[in-house]
Amino acid sequence: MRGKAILIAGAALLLVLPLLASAPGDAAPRTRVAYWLMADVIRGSADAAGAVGVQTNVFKQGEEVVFRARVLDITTGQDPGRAGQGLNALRDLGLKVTAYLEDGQSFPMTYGRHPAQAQGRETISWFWTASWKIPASQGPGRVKWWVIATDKAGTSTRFDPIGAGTNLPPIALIIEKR
Amino acid sequence: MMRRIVMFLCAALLVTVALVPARTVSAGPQGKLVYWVTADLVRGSIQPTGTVCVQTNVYKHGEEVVWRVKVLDVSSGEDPGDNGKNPAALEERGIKVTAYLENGMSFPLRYGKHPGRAGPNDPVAWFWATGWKVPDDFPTGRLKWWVVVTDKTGAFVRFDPIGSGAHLPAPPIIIEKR
Repeated sequence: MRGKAILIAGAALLLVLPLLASAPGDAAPRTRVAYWLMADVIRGSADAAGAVGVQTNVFKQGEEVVFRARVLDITTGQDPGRAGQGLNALRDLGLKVTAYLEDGQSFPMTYGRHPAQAQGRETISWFWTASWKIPASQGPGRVKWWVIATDKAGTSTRFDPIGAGTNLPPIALIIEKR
Repeated sequence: MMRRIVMFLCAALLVTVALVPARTVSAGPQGKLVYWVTADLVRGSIQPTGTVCVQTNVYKHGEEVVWRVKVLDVSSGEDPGDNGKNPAALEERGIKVTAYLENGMSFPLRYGKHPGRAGPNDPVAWFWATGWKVPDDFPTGRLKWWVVVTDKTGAFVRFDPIGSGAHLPAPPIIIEKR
């Protein structure tokens, strides 16, 4: 009887020990950041009610929200797409960048050059964009947004506007009646 | 004559070879990033001509530009100040955050809670911020800006807004007449 109890206790200990060993310590990093992800929103050209291409988080119904994101390798500070020269590298990484709204909508972003139709020796910049034309029927109010970058290796990096978790105005798209 | 031509070609080749690597240096890694820095601009409460505390890069004379910056440790993805619970850690690290304008002006940012006058049950966020009241006689036009984070260990991380370097409406601060 005693032998059995010792055997059961021993087996239980053997089962529990590996679990304890794999539990993360408090001092261990919780999330290693894979990408330096930054994002903002600007006013698109569709039915614009103000200056186009400028930063704002206040939009009228029918206007176009343009999400812009820059993704840099955190170890080098460099764009994995090497300003358009490394499109194969982006494909190899399986980098996907998506903008999300709290109502469940999501917008896959595409990597491209901006301005798209640069003239002459005009300098250009490469980053990720997606757009959302706010339906005229969209109710006025606040809609939170965020951006997530993922890759084939399974990393996931999330960008939230500064002040996320509070009621500060800049954390959400503010949609007003036209 | 032939010998002279060969010598000239060799010299030209040597000069070209020496120049080519110098051009590609800028594409190399900038070094390991210690901090994940994100920044934006919002309209401050001084003489506003539009909604206060919303994101914009267009300001009228007399308005207030407010820089907001979030600094996260790359190794953990966490705020080194632990959302206001550990300001001593910021001092120990000697973290300094500064906003720069291309005209040479600079503005040290302070770490604080936002909103500043939150009620006891209101959610708050801790980040770095500073403001600049655009003088009434300030020249109208575009003004590049960026943010630099440094610490005691010599870390130096620079944030440039998305699209910087390109001629886009969004990255610079646009100053207009009131």
